[in-house]
Amino acid sequence: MNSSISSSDAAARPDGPLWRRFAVTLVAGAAAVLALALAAIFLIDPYDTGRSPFFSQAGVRALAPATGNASRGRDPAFDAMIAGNSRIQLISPERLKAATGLDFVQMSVPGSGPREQLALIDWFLGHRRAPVKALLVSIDESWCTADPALPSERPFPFWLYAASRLDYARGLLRWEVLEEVPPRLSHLLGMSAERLRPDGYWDYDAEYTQKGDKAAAAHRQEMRARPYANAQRYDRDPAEGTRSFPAAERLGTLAAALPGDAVLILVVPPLYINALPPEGTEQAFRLRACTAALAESARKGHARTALIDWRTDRPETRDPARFFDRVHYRQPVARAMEADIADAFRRVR
Amino acid sequence: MLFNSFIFLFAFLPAALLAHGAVERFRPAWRLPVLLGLSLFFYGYWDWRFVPLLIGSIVVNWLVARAFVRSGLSILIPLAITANLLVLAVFKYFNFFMDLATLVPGLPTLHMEIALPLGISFFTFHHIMYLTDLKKGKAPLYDPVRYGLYIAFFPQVLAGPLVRWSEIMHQFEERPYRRPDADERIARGLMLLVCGLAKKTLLGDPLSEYVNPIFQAAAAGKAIALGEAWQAMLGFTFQIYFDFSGYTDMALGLALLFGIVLPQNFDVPYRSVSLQDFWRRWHMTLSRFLRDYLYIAMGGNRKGLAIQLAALFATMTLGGLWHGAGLTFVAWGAAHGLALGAGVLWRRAGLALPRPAGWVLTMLFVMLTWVLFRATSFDAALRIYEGLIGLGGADPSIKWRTILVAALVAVLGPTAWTFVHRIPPRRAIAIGFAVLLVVVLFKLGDDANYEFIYFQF
Repeated sequence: MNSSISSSDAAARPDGPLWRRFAVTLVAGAAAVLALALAAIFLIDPYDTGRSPFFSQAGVRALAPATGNASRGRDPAFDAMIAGNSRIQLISPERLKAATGLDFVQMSVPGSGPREQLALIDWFLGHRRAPVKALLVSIDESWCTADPALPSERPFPFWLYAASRLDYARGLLRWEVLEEVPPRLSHLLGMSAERLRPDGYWDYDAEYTQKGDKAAAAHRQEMRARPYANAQRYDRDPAEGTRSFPAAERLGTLAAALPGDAVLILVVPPLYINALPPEGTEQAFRLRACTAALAESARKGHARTALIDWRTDRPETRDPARFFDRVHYRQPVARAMEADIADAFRRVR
Repeated sequence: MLFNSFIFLFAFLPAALLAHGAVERFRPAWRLPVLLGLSLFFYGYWDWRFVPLLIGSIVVNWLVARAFVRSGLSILIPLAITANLLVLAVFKYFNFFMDLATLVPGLPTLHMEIALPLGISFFTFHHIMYLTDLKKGKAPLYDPVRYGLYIAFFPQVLAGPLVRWSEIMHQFEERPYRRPDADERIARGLMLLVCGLAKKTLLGDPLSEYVNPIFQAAAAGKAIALGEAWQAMLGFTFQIYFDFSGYTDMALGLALLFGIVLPQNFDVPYRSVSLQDFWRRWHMTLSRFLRDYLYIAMGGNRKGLAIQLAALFATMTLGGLWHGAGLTFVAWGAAHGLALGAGVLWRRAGLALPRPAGWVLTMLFVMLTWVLFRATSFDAALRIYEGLIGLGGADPSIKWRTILVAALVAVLGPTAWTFVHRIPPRRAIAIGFAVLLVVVLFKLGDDANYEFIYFQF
């Protein structure tokens, strides 16, 4: 039980050098093990980001979209992309291919907002060998934030999509990355067959219908609620001219960088009627101003831009049977939206 | 800046060690001012707005101490202690007392949104210890830098251990890297730091995943099934131990790197065979403070049994309140006060209990009261208690593996301090610690950021 508080002025102890060596070994050893581990992970490239000079074999196991899209977004089979969150997830690449002839990849990430989606779009565009032909961006209410930082609601691996290799390497220092090494190795060695679906489509409608939606009762109750029943009505927007939508500027920059003959399609996803702010409420004015700002900014940057607004009062959004909850629609709505998307594509192409 | 963060481990700590090592070698007179500057920077990194509070607290208390020494006016000390407690009360208990006041009809309600300055509960007690001993003539007057360092020394400023001035002041005068055992201290400090990090990240934090959702559900009024209730109680029992003792190991290890030995805070508390035994092994520096500055001041065991029981009860209840501004904390402290009083009567009656039975009873009591400590309301605690006896559903499923590993380490294993002091200086062991440190670093990299439980107090 040493490290005693009593100070002793005795001569240096014989094991002093041994302890010095011990301390140096501990620190230098940790630095070396850490550097080796990160280098090995970098070379194994567990998320198939293409940054490793070796092991460029494509494909990863069925990861969550936030990490799986790193591999998906590099796939040269696609010439068009869908960006957004779960509210655009049901739009089917296969059906869009039949209607437009383009190969869309679904890169939507549940719970994500504009900052995450812009990072994913950059990633997709940065990994094209041929010019991109179409980009579909779901501009839901998260794009209407007034915060220029475009804050995220959930953690998102921005490091995985970082332009700088150093940021990426620093991001590799994570337990979840370490856990991804064995499956990636077994894939590289041809020992596991499980693969990520390349086009990113996930039919949650079919899955919920088959398994049952655990939260169905809560969702129904939520849909019956009328948050705007007593909201004050105005003849004019009470905050006219004072609103700012910083995401619009970012969208404009992105639009301006698209190749001239690419098509940019902005889709405003639907809300179930009770969750839709009625005409004359401040929220309705705000959302309308937001859509206008986003569309104007995109059109300024890129001529071939189309806007499809489904956040409106229409028969499909009045039918509770076509919604799981206030914001997630079912297949019939998705198909109707796809028809609109195909029309818009033909119109501006 | 958490000890378990990259910014601390990769930036602040190496920079602080380099700066401290350089002045210790070339400008020993600057060592303490540099250490104080580093400590204030560390504290300010959390929230710079509280730095003036910490500095002001140091300066005012030091000025009072100096005035007392020069004038001999003994009233200054109780006034200063009262002022310290008032500052603590305003920051920590204002809303608590205001909410209690609403129970009295006719009183106005007032609520203040005020952030709790980190470490205030700890540094307030540091001032009290020093001022009390100064008045008794035990403590000398120090210069402001030394006094500032006693209060703000970064390994202990946020969550202890609570250090007596007499344990640390003479250490400031040393040339720590000229001691014959300097290298050994640094090596053992590094090992302690790694042990503390491992305890927190590999045991404490994973347990919180088992515990938090269940207490949240209980707070929302949901029924808690049998297995879940036991999982929450057992899980929290070991989570709080590994979280807090892990933090303490880090604090002790870091202090050793800077040539300071801080006092022990834990001595295998879950091996206790009585509640009295438990409080000699759990958060020892707090127990010691409560005993020496509260219990004995109230009369302790020198004025008859009735006074002793009352002093025990009052001390533990106040100790409960110190942990947080909530009636659940008060109830937790009061329960411990009552049980300690029962223990006094038991011993007075000359009764004895076989050690295994004593251990089982002590553990059960400690775990049951941890529920009260962790729950955000009495209702939430009640949901867990109901669950423990199966009133919330009979589902016995429980995630037991991590809990079992944690229990074995906590009950059978030595304390980290004892463990690292048994280790010989072998290279293979150093490499083992290096690998463990890297594993911990990978754990720290995950996005979930775990604060220390005791930072709320």
